Amino acid sequence: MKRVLASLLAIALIIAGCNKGNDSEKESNVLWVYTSMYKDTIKDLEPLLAEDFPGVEFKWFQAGSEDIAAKVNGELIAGQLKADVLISSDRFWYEEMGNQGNLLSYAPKGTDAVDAQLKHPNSFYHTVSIPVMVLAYNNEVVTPEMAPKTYKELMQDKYKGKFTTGSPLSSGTNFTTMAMLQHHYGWDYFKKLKANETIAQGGNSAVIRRIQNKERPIGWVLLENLLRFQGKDERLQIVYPEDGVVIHSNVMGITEKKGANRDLAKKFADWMYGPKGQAMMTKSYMYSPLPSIAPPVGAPPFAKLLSNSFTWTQDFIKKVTEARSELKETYTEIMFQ
Amino acid sequence: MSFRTIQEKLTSPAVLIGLSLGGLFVICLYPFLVLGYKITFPAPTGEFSLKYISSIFESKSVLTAFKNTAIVSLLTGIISVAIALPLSWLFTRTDLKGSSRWRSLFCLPYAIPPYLGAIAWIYLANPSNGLINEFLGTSFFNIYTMTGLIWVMSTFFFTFVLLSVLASLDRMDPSLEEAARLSGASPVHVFFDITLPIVRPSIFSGFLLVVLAAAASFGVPALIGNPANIYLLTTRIYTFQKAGSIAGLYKGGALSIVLLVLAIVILVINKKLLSKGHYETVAGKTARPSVLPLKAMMYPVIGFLLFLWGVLFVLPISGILITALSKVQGVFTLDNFGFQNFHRIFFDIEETPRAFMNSLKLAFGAATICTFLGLLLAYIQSKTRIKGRGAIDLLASLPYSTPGTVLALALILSFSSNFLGLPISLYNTLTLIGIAYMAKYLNFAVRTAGDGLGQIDDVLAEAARVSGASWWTTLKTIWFPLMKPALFASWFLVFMPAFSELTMTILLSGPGLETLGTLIFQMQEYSDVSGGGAAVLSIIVIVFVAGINTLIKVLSKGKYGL
Repeated sequence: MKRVLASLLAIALIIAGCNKGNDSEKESNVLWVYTSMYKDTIKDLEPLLAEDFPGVEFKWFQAGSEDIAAKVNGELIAGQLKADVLISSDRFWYEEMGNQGNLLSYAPKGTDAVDAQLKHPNSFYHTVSIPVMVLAYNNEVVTPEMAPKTYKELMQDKYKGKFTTGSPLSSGTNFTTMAMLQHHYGWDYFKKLKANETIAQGGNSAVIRRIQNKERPIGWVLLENLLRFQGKDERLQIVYPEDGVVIHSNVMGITEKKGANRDLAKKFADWMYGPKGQAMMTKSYMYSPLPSIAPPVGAPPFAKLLSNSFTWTQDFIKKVTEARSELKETYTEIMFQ
Repeated sequence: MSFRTIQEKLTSPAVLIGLSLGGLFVICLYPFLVLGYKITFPAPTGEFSLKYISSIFESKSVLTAFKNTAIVSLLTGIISVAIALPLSWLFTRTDLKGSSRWRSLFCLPYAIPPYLGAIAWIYLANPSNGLINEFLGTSFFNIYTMTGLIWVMSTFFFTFVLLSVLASLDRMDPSLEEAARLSGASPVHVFFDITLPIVRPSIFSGFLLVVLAAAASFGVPALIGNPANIYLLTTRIYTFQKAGSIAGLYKGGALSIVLLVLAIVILVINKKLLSKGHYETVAGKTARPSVLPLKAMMYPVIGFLLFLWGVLFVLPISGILITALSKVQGVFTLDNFGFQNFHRIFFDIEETPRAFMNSLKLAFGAATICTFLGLLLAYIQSKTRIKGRGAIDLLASLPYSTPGTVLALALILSFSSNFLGLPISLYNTLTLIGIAYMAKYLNFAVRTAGDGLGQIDDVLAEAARVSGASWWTTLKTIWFPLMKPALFASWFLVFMPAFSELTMTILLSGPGLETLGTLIFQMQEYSDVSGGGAAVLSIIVIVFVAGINTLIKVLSKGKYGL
């Protein structure tokens, strides 16, 4: 027993030895950024920011859009808002945050060039990068002739047991796509998807996994996830749906954090629209909202996609922001019960 | 003050009992009081309102969810007992070759992060192209069914029952069984008439652990239950929470408080039912149970165990291994397999060592503190006359029966700015994540220790006291040694899930606070193009857990460990 205890103690000491003390840094030079951007994008951003923001410490919290919303909402209920800048893809949550007075009205330099569809009229948020929802299939089991050309076609019986999406409950882009298609095709669309045994689970990576494993060889998925596979998995084929791609907004907002110095947050927001920030967005295969920036490698020009996409109207944004809970509820009733 | 007097002061019963009850209050009750307060006095007005509680009953699906949750968790409990009970008998009451090794092997399924285990099972047994179906040329096995869901949950959770019953069989006085056998009872009779009644509390306690854990779990039910149309309470809570609004958070919290009330009712009924019997069976002497020779049955039994272990562990782990070794998922050509994913996780991803160390610290700390706290609390509950002691295991079950996302929220509310009016902020610290793990898993420790203590006759402690031993000395020399197998079991029960915990950690994590769980999530949901990173990490988790167990077993010459 003694030897066991001694070795446990030794392990405990080793662990304790590795424990760094908790630093109580000066908050004025610290910027808390909560984002759903990919980890490798953050890793690429860090050295560039270190160059341009000497002495500033960036604290990144990286998670899915809906987890970020839950965390920030928790902070708000507790009265202890920590986040300075938010960058994630659930635009409707930013609408609510803005309405509740939790976001600063600020238009970063350069955002006047951003399409009006892609920003808040009162400058509570702006789109900083654009993910696009498209269709994909695995050409080992699905021929180009068999592959769907539109979202709408997926209601057909021949796609029974073939189609997959992410869950609007766990992924912001999947929620937005669901809301957009519901707006245009109604709940019958999803009832039919359900009858077709569509699996709607997880985020975009889970969709890719199911397409690759052929459990469901066709899916809706973000273009950026597919472009990453260029040259790595040639089985994955992209379809730009003829009834329209769904344009998403990765938006950025600055919080109304009590007592915080907002200048640093504003400076960072400006930087994200500068050449370095935007280059990182296209490097991670998302489009830039600035017309002057080239599309990501392997992607068609943005103007072409935009001309054939579901339109974002203020009416749609308002409707979805208000009915978010009900949309998720009804969706859950149709798809999961 | 000399070291000795300080030690005496710190180990006096009043101080230890006070500390452990205080700890129980802070981690198991306080967060729910805060959550309940915020829900019934919601911001911004802060006026009393029951609108969130009543709103959850407006949706008709809540009833379906209740019904499904009851079915899934009860059946998972029953299947877990059905798997664990014969195993624990084989491991302790027969001359099975390598029984100590078998024990360790059958505890391993619990070390697989459930989320990845479920993905592996989907991979193996989905009706469209599951590997098992393809191999057998059928579409017979369908993981997307009630049976499939219950099966996958049972493959993880049966360990609770196994450990609980094993610990009890190990400590039980075998002379009772021997007496029956000498009087001519057949082994089957001995088992059903003597052994089973004595270990019944352990079976129940393991069963309850499974039922509550199954009712509160979300990952596996989401992956398998959603496509199967099995709508559970946790799915309901998740829908509320992920509505993205503050109202949604309140509603999710409200529903899980209703779930808690239900759990408490079940626990109280169970307690009333169990309190009738009296089960102290461990007296002073240590006797070796005489074992039943398997004789000609030895090899058929070993064959069966191999088969069962293959189904419970080798199958899912093979699914994970294939994923880990694939350069791209879903391609079965030889040149698609290699160690690229391992290389990337070990050498290219800078967070790996930090995440590993954080998880190790957290799991080690939580397991050690929980085991000790659990022992003290179980002691207070079963061996003292302190008023209200009967509520201890109920309190410890509260966080355990709460879905992780809700518990994390309650902890953020409780510890982010003022704790009991003090200016303490634990938000965005490892400590808060550690508290979350302790809260969630303390129940294992209290119950495992409680089972152990329940079987030990007070005469031993009385003898020590009569001989002049202090309270601490009695605890140290009587309770600890007799309880050691149970304590090791409870340590592992906390360590294993904490080492790769995901749900709570995602919300509580912050800059620099990555854990293996968040890294697994990261790999699963984002940038990991090959899709194998998460599988590699879960293999690391399993190998590491198995490694610690082996180390403890070797050092203790097989006496402790799983």
